[in-house]
Amino acid sequence: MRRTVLLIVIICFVLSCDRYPDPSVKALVDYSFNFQISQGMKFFAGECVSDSVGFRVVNYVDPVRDTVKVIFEISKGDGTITVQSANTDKNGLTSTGWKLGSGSFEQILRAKTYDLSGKYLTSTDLVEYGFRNDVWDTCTLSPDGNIMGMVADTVNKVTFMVANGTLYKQGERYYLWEPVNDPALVSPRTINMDRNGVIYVTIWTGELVKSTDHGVSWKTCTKPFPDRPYYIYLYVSNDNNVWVFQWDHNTRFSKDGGITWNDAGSNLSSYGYGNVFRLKDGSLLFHGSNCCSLNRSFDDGLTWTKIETPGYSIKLFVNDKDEIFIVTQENGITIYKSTDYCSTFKSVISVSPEWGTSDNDNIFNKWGNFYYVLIPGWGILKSADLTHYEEYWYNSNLRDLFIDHNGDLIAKDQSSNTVYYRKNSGK
Amino acid sequence: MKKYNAFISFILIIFCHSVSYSQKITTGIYSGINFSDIHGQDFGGKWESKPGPLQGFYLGYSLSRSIGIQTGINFSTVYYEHKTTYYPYIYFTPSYYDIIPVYYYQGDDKMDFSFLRVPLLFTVSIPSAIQFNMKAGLIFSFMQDHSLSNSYSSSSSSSEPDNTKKKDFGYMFSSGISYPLSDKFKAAFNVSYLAGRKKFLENTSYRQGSSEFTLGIDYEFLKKNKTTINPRFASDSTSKKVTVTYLGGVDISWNGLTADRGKYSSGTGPSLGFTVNFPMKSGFSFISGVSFERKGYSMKDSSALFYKYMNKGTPMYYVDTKVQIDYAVIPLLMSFPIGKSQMVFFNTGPWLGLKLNARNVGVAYNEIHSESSYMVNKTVIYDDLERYIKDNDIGWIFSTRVSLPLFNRYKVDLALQYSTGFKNVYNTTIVAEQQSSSVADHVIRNRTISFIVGFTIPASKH
Repeated sequence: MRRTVLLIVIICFVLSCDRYPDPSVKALVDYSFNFQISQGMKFFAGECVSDSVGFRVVNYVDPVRDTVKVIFEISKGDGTITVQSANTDKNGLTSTGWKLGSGSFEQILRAKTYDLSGKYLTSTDLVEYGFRNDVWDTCTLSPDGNIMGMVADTVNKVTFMVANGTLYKQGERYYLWEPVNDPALVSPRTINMDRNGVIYVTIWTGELVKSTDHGVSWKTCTKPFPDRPYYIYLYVSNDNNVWVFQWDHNTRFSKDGGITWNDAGSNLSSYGYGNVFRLKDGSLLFHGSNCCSLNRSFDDGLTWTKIETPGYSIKLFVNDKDEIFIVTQENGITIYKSTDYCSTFKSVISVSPEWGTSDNDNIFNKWGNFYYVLIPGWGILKSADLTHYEEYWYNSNLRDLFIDHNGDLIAKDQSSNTVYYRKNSGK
Repeated sequence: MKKYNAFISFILIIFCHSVSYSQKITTGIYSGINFSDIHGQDFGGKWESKPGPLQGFYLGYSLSRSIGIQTGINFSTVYYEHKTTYYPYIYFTPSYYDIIPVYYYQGDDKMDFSFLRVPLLFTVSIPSAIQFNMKAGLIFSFMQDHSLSNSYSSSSSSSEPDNTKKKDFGYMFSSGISYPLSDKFKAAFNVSYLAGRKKFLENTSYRQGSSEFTLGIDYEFLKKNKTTINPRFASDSTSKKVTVTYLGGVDISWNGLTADRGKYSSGTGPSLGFTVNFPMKSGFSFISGVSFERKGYSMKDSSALFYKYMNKGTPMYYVDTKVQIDYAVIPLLMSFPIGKSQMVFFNTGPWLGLKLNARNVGVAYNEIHSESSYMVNKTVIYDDLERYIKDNDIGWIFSTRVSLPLFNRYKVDLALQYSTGFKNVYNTTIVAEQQSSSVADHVIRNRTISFIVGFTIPASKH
């Protein structure tokens, strides 16, 4: 009886044991793939990225004994490679040489991987960029795509730009940018330059910093609006005076490079921030950010007289011949010219942009013997005399234009992260 | 699984029983072990059946030779443990691949509860030298202590939650045997199954459950007469008619749904139980009893779900799984003799199935592609499905049985049985809540073919 009961109990315990394993997840196959050089590097089109672009395969499950077949191919662009197919070595490495083509700005090298049984595993792309001549290259890289302002010193062969709250100096190649680190340059916002090559940078906190040695060193100027911790608007007129604007304050100007500041006429600030030009007769011409705000001063900026303009004027430019050009919103955008100090105006060109803005300062850009006139929402016009124009590039997405000290154009898209580079070989 | 074991033990014990005798008042003490079997749990993961201690005493009163009532007090501790999917990460030293090592994590929730319990049971005994008895009734629980912990990686937290219910009541089913050691004392062995009715933890649907195995000593307050001391010479008018058949066999089950039928195949499982045969006029008889049966189906296909075919969703797995639903089946059959030999019978009638457990077990494989990686994962599946399946099913049985005589009084039965369930046993309300998707195609209709071998013994010896 006891044996019977014991047998029953033993059977009960045995049957009480779970026969199913605990839930789990186990990797039977686990690979990672990556190229051994950085993504998103910049080269000239046709340049060799490397004669040995490394590709690495890591087998996490069986790291020692496995090898993988890699097939390289050009997925985008018309570049060339030196090795089409190879097996990884004991360290999971293989490589190929890659020379960029010129078929596209973005170029892609693809590595397709297969295990030893021929089973396809995955494809891995390496994306690099090849900058071409005489073509607009669309660039969404950082910091390029976020350019806010740029100055080019053609005498001293330096170009600086501000993007993402950092000041950059152009490197050996027009598409390379190196950050400038200086204790005075904390969150730069805008950049301007006078005709002597003195560079002025405004800071988001309302400070003004300048460099008189082409960007080698930087010095903080007297704060134009001491009571204001917010950013300011700055313009450097053709007489090297510095003009600053802040809402609810008098517009101020400095004749000594930011050491001391003078108030401009009290009514000037009501016109917003804008452009100032010294005419050959010593008078000053100003147009603010507000519509129809052309003003002239004969007493060095203390008092101003408003000038009526045709259309709805938004921008002012004066060339070296004292020819005055105003940009108006008549019939889209119409540029008027005056050769008699604004007594009369004559229309020189009209275009129809898809949208408009008056915020950018770089409508009139000169390089060599030509002006490149950027009409936001329309594109770029080219002119030798600002009287006769030809279409240079129609692109309704453009909102600003910069030219570096070598004449390379950088057009900014209305989106916040895209610029267009163009290097003209025959300039 | 625990219910399955309880039923097996129950069958084994009945197999050894013989006619016993009853007493007016009986008391006893017992001690044993319980195995947890939680109810109301959410889908997924594996609930371990963990052992815990149990001891108590009972007081019984016999209303007749076979029928009585019983109460008592016991103290038990029930341990629950829930294991979720385990993700092992390979560790590499930094010098090998310059990879920052990571560590694996496993979800492991534990709960334990100590109870003082008071059962109120109705008992049925079959007198014999080894008395066999069955009990069923209510049990009232009073929680004395509890704790909850879950551990992830190297951190673990223990807390004594104050959102647990202190009182519970439920159902208890028990069977056991007792053997006389002397005039007054008996040794007793019992197997019980308990299921609570109240949700014991706030914000969950958990209900208590366990199976119990106990050994004890019974004391009888009344003297026995000579006929009861030697029951082998006692006769019972019903014993010449009523027989008990102990059954065992194999179930081949499948899902009788119409859509996507080709995606599923059959599964096999055990069938164990007993039936009581009540002869009637002209060779007809009424048959009932209880058996443990495992129904369900298998699936081997590409699917986004492990337990059901679904061709939409990510990731997609290659699935090789079995859905297993354990039932306590109570048939109510009429048996009709075929021919004059009284050896071949046709049985038919309804059945009621009470769900005991449901789970999905098996393996699944999936591929993960990206530009920087490729993986093939093997998932070992153990997902609790109890909440997704309704508590009962009803259906109809058709069966052909051949009964062959053995050793004069005994018989061996060979039966081929087909049973069909009428209900869609998916609990679509719960499934829809948890999956937030359409459940119109969630259908399980139990279909089973059973091959059964039975051993029939009369109710008493001569």
